[in-house]
Amino acid sequence: MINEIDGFLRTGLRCGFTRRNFFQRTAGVAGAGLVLGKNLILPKPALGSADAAQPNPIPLTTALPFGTFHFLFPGPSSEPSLITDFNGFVGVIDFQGMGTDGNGNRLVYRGDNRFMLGEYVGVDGRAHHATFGFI
Amino acid sequence: MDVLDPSGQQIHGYDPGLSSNGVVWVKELPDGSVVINPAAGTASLNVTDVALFDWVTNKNSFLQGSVLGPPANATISMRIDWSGVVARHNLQEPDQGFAGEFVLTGAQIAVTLHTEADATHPAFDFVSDPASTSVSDFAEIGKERNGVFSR
Repeated sequence: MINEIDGFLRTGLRCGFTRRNFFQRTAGVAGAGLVLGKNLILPKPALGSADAAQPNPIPLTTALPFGTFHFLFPGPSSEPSLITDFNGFVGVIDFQGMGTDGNGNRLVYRGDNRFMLGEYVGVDGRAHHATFGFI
Repeated sequence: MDVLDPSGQQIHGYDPGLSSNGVVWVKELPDGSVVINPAAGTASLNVTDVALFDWVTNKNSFLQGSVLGPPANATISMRIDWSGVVARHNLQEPDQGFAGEFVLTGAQIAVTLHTEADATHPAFDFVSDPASTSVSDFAEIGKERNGVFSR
């Protein structure tokens, strides 16, 4: 299994733009600010701008070539949470594996998923309690 | 979550998008989705058919559809289990505004992904191999406080 994944990932690191190598290859490059195209498409935000219980982002950021974003890579000294004014439980997994699509093709999946479970102060300045996933 | 084709190119990128105030890829999950026992070094996350988007690539997600167009509606079901204490450590990072008590662990994941077909996206389904075959490069659980709770 690991050899099968490695074969994919060696190829992916050469030519892919996956979440992990995308981050690793671009992090630390000075961000030029988030320039949004005139054809910008804005789907409904996952948390909803009108939601008073919406959390706020952590102040720490990572610079990508096209902008600076409020997240940190997972690691033993890195902040796991993606939301600030938070007090609760967290979990982090940086993973990879194999699977099969609907046509029987063997594919790699990979990512960095997390949870945040506890109390937080929302954009409304009030205390809330919820479970969030970084997916 | 990324899916790569056999050439190594990302062909699907699943996440909930950026919130209007800059929270990255965070989605509220149903109550009861997470069970955690830090003392035992165990936790689980179990969700079914959580709505999110398939942006195709991560860059398209960060730039909110301005690279490859709008995302397709999608769902994810997954189970993650953390277990096996590797080490315990406490962090006090006043400069970074957070503190906590953390447990480095092993972890395994199994996932099912579905992209809904629309005018510009074909339907796509993906089922991972059993969780026991997944590989975790880093995993931890713990208790964290930041912002107003860390002062």
